[in-house]
This record gives sequence, structure tokens and C-alpha cells, in this order.
Amino acid sequence: MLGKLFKYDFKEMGLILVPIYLLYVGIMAAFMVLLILARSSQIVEENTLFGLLFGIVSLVAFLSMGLILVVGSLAIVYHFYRKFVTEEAYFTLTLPAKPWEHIASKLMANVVWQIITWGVFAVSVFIALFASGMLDVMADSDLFDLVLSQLQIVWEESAAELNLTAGTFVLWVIYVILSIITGPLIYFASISVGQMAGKHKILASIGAFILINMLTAFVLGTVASGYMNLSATGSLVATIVETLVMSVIYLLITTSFLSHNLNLQ
Amino acid sequence: MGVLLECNGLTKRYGQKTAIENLSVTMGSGRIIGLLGPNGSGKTTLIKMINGLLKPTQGSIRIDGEAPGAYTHGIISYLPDRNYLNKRMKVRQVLDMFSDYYGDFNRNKADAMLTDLQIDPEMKLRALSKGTLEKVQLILVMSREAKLYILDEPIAGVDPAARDYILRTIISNYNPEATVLISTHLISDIEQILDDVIFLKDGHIELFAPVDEIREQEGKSVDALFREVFRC
Repeated sequence: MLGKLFKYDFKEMGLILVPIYLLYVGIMAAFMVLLILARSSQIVEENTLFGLLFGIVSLVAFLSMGLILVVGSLAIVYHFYRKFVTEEAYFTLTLPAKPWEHIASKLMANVVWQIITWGVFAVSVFIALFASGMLDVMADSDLFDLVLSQLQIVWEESAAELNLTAGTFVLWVIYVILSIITGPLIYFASISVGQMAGKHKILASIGAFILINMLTAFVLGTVASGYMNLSATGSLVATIVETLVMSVIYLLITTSFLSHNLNLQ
Repeated sequence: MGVLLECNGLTKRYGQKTAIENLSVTMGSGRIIGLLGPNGSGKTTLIKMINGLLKPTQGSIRIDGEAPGAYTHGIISYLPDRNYLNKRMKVRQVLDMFSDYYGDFNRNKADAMLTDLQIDPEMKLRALSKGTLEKVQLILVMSREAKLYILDEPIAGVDPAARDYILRTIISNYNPEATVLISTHLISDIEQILDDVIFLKDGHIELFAPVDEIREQEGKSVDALFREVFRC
């Protein structure tokens, strides 16, 4: 059943995200065409209208680059809300699936779409750099080598001062992966608490999110004061443990909602 | 005939309001049961509790010996009183989805019913009329070989010709060893297919009897008795 739930969660999130990706690609394509035109002629200086258009499209393109990542993160929140709080919940919640299967499939679908979103973003950045000629500049000049060598110096000095090792890097990768996988759980928990409100479930969910965030910050801040003197590696291990513990708590809140506190009126 | 559905001391309160109070009932297999009552009598609340969409304030529900959960969802085929599917999907995609999720879904039966009703499987749900969408949802539900079919107001929003088709579909397509629980307030239309009726009033069961017994003992139709019992 988990595989089937994942298949449809993935498809339905695609119905939300693919049109957004297409819009983003359209905006970036327009930006790159104008950028190439601007580089290959004096049209920006000579034509006020083109200059104005180029400015507007550039602004929209840069805003879009930030927004595409945000939208990629929020799509799972909207999908969860629609599947468990709107009328579609009548179908979702009468499927022959256990609560944890519903949650796991959505987390899995979110990981895949996060990877795709970052891929779309990375490709758009690369093409923008190419269209702007920055890649040629970096290849032709010593700038690229200079930046790399400076980064290496910073890394070596930091590693020595903070006692960073290859293991620290591995732990950091583990933390990033864990954050991507479990990131939506706080939103799931907030929506779960919010849906128990009779009316204004969206407002109640936002309120629950703020409250849960405040409580989490307070608890983690209190706990963190106990390990201020840990090394960088030790701090990273503590952060991973904190993330795991909070994820389990959010998961228990969400599972409890799906099992015991449904309020589908 | 074993017990398929058992409710014991079921109560559901919303704050100060009591929707269902101390309701106990058992239903066996192989019956078509009408859950009848005026608006606000608790029909939909009871149905939602059986499907695990609402939790009882007190009491218990057992379907085939199990509390509402993944197992009971697999043996209940439920038609809610509203549109509950993702309207961006095509009819064909929804049938594919039901085939995937439910091992007891009879795809050939569903396709045949779509053809009978001249519904294009390539149409998106949001392009269908309200009545046609309700027919699609009914086809999905009645194409399963479930143990318990629960239909909440299946004929309320459709024209009289479609009502006849829906009632014929219910009779001819359900598993005869299963039970069909139909909630409605349109009794005269549905009386002809019922084996038993439950009269629900203010969250209590006023009557649970076979239709034939009512006609013999009361000397009137179920519709006439209903109007008498629930006279305003």
C-alpha cells in the first residue's frame, strides 16, 4: 500500500508543481533571451523601452529564483492539507492504509520533488550564468582559480580551528538529508492540531505552527545551553539527535490526529 | 448469518449538542437496510463514525469484529454525500486509482457502467455536471466486491430517471452476501429495494424492522409510517 500511496502522492504533487516549473522556465527563458540580446548589442543603452523591459524581466527572474525553492517546500503543505482537511479527506481517510503509511508516502514524495525543484533551480542558475557570459569570464580569467584557492584556505583554517574532519562533513550531509526528509513534519503536526478547531482551520493551523515553533525553540534552546562547550562535531551530533527527537514528536502528533482525533465534519 | 456491523452505546457530542446518544444496533450480512430520518437526525454522523471519519464520544463500533481502521476500510465501500475526488483527474485515472487501491475493485463492471451511462472516461471530473459526477462516484463504489456498502444520500442530487438507474445499479451490482446501508430522506423512491429500515430521530433509533413486517403490522408503506412518526 505504501508504494501505491507514494505513486499517487507523487503524481498529485506533480499536478501542483509542474505548471509552476513551466512558468518558471518561461520566465527564465525570457530573461536569458533578453540577457543575450543585451550582451550582443547596445540595445539596452539605445532603447529605453527595451531597457525597461529588461529591468522588469530581470527583477521577476531573480524573484522567481528565490520563490521556486519556497514553492517547492510549500507544495507538500498544501497537498497534506487538501488530502486530510478538505473534502478529499473523505477518500484519503477511508483508504485501506495505516496512518504511518499516509505520512511516509507524503514525506517520500516530498523528498523526490525537493530534489527535482533543486535540480530545476540549479540548471536555471547555470544557464543564466552561461547566458550572462559569466562562465566565459570565469574560465578565461584567473578569477575561478582565485576563488577556489581562497575557499580552500578558509576551509583549512576553519578545519584546524574547529577540529573539523571528514567525519564532520559526513555528519553534516546526514543532517541535511534528515532535514529534507523530516522538514514537513512540523507543518503536518500544525495542520493536525489546527483541524481540531471547529471553524477557521487554516488560521488555527497557522496559530499551531507558531506555537509549536516557539515551544520547539524554547526546549531546544534550554537543551543547547547544556552543550555549549562541545566541539563542532559534537554540536552536529547533538543537532542531529535534536532533529530526530523533534521529528518523532511531530510524527506522534500527526499520527494521533489520523488515528484518534479526526474531526471531519 | 453472522454479525457484520455492531454499535454499542454509541454517543457523539459536539460541545453541548448531542448528535447520537447511546445508540446500539447490530446488522447482519446480505441485507439492504435503509437508514431513514429527517435532516439533522444523525444519519451522516453515524455513517462517518462507522467509516472512522469521526471518533465516538462514547461507545464502540465493530465491523466484521474489528474497530474502524485499515482493515474495515478495505471491506467497506463508502459513498459520501459530497464530491470527494481530485477534480483534476480524468474519469479513467480515477478508475485506475481505485483498481490500484482496492483489490476487490471490478474494473470491467465499472467500464460497463460508464458505457451504459455514456460517460467519456477521458473527461476530467471538473468538466462533469454535478449529477454525472455523482454517478461516477456511485459506479466506483458499486464496482467493488465489498462486505458492507454504505451510501450516504445516493439519490438526493440527481434527476428521477437517474434515480431509477442508481437504484437498479444498487440492486444488480452489489455482492448478495454483503449488506447495503443506504441513508436517505427520499423514502418513497428507495422503499421498493429495502429489506429493513432504521428510523433515526434526534440521534436515537426509533424503529429497526423488516419492511415486510412494517407493511403487515402497520398496514401502510414505510413512507407513510415515516411521515407519521416524523410529523412536524
